[in-house]
Formats: sequence, C-alpha cells, structure tokens
Amino acid sequence: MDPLHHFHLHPIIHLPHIGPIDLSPNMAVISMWISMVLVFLLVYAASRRVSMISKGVHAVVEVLLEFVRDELVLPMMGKEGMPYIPFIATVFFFIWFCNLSGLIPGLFTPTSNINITATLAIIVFFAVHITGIREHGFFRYFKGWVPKGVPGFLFPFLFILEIPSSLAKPFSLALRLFANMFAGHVVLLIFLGMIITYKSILIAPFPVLGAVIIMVLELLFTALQAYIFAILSALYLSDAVHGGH
Amino acid sequence: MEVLFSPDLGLIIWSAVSFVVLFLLLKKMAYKPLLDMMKKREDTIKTSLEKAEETRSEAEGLLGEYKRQLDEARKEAQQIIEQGKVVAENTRQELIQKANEEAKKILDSAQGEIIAEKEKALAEIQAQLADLVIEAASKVVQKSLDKKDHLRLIEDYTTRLRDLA
Repeated sequence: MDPLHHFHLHPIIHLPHIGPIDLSPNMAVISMWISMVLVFLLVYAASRRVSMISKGVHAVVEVLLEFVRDELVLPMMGKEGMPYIPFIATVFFFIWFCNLSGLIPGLFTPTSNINITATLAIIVFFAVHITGIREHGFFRYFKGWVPKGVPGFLFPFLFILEIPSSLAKPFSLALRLFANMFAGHVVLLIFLGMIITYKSILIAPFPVLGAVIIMVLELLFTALQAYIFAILSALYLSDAVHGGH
Repeated sequence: MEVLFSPDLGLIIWSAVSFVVLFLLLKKMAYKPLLDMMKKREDTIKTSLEKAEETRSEAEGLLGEYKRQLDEARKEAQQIIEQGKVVAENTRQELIQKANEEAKKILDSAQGEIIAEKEKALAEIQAQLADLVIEAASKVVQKSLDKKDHLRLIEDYTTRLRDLA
C-alpha cells in the first residue's frame, strides 16, 4: 500500500482550465473552504455576542484572541503590534482549522500540501515587506537591511546577501508546516495501513493503538504548528515594524 | 514523491483567495467588536481596580480619622469624669464643712440658750426663794413651831424647791 496515495488530489468539481491554471476544486480546496467557513462562523458568531461578561462562543473566541495577543503579538512586536492582531489571528485560526480538518475522516489536510503552505508563507512574506515599506518608506526600509556603519562599498554585497536570508524565511515557514503535517499523516496512514497489510486480528490492535496515540499527538500538533507559523509571522512583522533585520 | 512538490497553480490561487477573503471578512466584520470589547473590559477592570484602591485608601484615612476622634472623645470623657469627681469631692467637702459649721452654730446657740434659760431659771428661783422665805418667816411668826413642824416645813420647802427646779 502506498502511503502517498492519500496525497494525490483529484478534482471534485470540474471547471474549465484558464490557460495553464486548473481551478477545479479538489479535496484540499474543499477542506480549506470548510475550515475557512468554520473559522468565519466561529469568530463572526462570537463578535455578534460580545458582552462585558463573556460566555459561550464569545468566551472561547476571546480566550483564543487573548492568546494571540498576549502570547504571539505582544511578546514579539510589543505595543506596536496591536494593529497586526487581526492578521496574526487569521493566520493562526486558518492554519489551525486547516490542520484540524485532516483529522476528520473524508477530509484532507490542506496544510500537508506544499502549494498551500507556500502560498500562506508568501502572503506573510508580502505582508512583512509591505508593512516595512509602509512604516519606514521604500528606501529607508531596504537600507535598514544592512547594519548601520557599514562602509559604502560593502553595502551592495551585504544587501545581496540579505536577499536569500529574506527568502529563506517564507521558505522555512512553508516547509516546516508542510513537513510536519505531511509526516504526521504519513505515520498515521502507515499505522492504519498495517491493519490492511497484515490482515490479522492479532496484530490489528497494535496499529490501532498506535494510530490513536498518533491522532492525539496530531491534535496537539495542529495547534502547535499553527502557533509556530503565527509566532514566526509575528516575529518577521516585528522586524519590519521595528526596522531591524 | 513528485506529487508532493509539484506546483499547482489552482491550489495556490484558491488558498490565496481563501485566506485573503477570510482575513478581509473577519477584519471588516468580526475582529473590531471583539478586540474593542477586550480593551473595554480591560480598561473597566483597570479603572475598577484603581477606584477600589482609591476607595480603600480613603476608607483607611477615614478609619484613622474615626479612631483618632474616638480616642479624643474617650480622653475627653475621661477628663469630664475626672473633673466631675473633683467637683463632687469639692462640693462634698464644702457641704461637710458647711454642715459642720451649721451644726456648730446650732450647738453654740443652743448652749447659749441653755445658759440663758438656766440663768433665767436661777433668777426666778432666787426670786421665788425670797418669796418663800418671806412666806415661811411669816408663818414662823404666826405660829410657834416644834421640832417636828420644823422638819415638816423644811421637807415641804425642799419638795417645792425640787419641783421648781
């Protein structure tokens, strides 16, 4: 049994190609949409029930938002990070729900596909640089990439050296999330595949137990990976806002 | 392995659109009331705590003031009691002295009266004695007296004298 078989995506609804682009939604897209709708409904429902004494869905979302603010944004960005809470919170919620969707039978983990994690990382990449340019101006922002006091003739070299460093950030973001979610599911599939491969009632309980343990760990990793992605996004945004690099 | 890293423009576009749409919708419709409420609650808690601290220090000040006033009142009451005691003692002494003086005065006047009465009585006795002597003498003159008569007469006078006294 090929554990990678699960990761082959097939269009669910066929749409005509636009040039080389195939916009036909597959299971990854559907799962992503479900996650998106769930995040929206959850946060929107909470926002309609705001009250001084929070309860129900409002209390849950507020705890999560407080977590984003107090554990992700404020430690990384300080008070200047307050306007970026919506962005970081969306990154956190979206990735977390996408990660979680993979644990529901029949759905797919969108974040176990490099195209999706790369897109999210590129969005963060653009958000970081747009924020930097908006905060400091185009030239001052890019000038800030090179440490102060560097002799003029070294400036172009150091600037060129900083470009791969800057590109490595989204690359590592994308790869980390993809690799973690992909690996988790592969291990889960291997455990479950063992049941089918061995076809023995004596062996079956062990893979089932292993799968349950991995499932519990995956539940933890879904939040952990979303947290890592969001906290690194906040860190990169902080560099852009504070002018450091 | 190829499937893992093959680029898929459709997926890239859909994920970008999904994320951006979600972000814009939440930013426009949901985050503001939630973050505002969080801020409002924190501000309210902060204000309440500050107010509570203010009230506490005010209450502490008032308690100190009341304690001080109570102490003062106690001292004042003690002072009043002490003064009362002194006044009462003085009055008692005065009254005793006055009573003593009064008693002495009454005694003195009584003694004076007694002496006067005594003198008056003596004078009366003397006067009556003279009368009696004259009367006796006249009786002696009228009748000769034997020894027995003398004794009776003397006894009679003595009795009358005793009665007079």
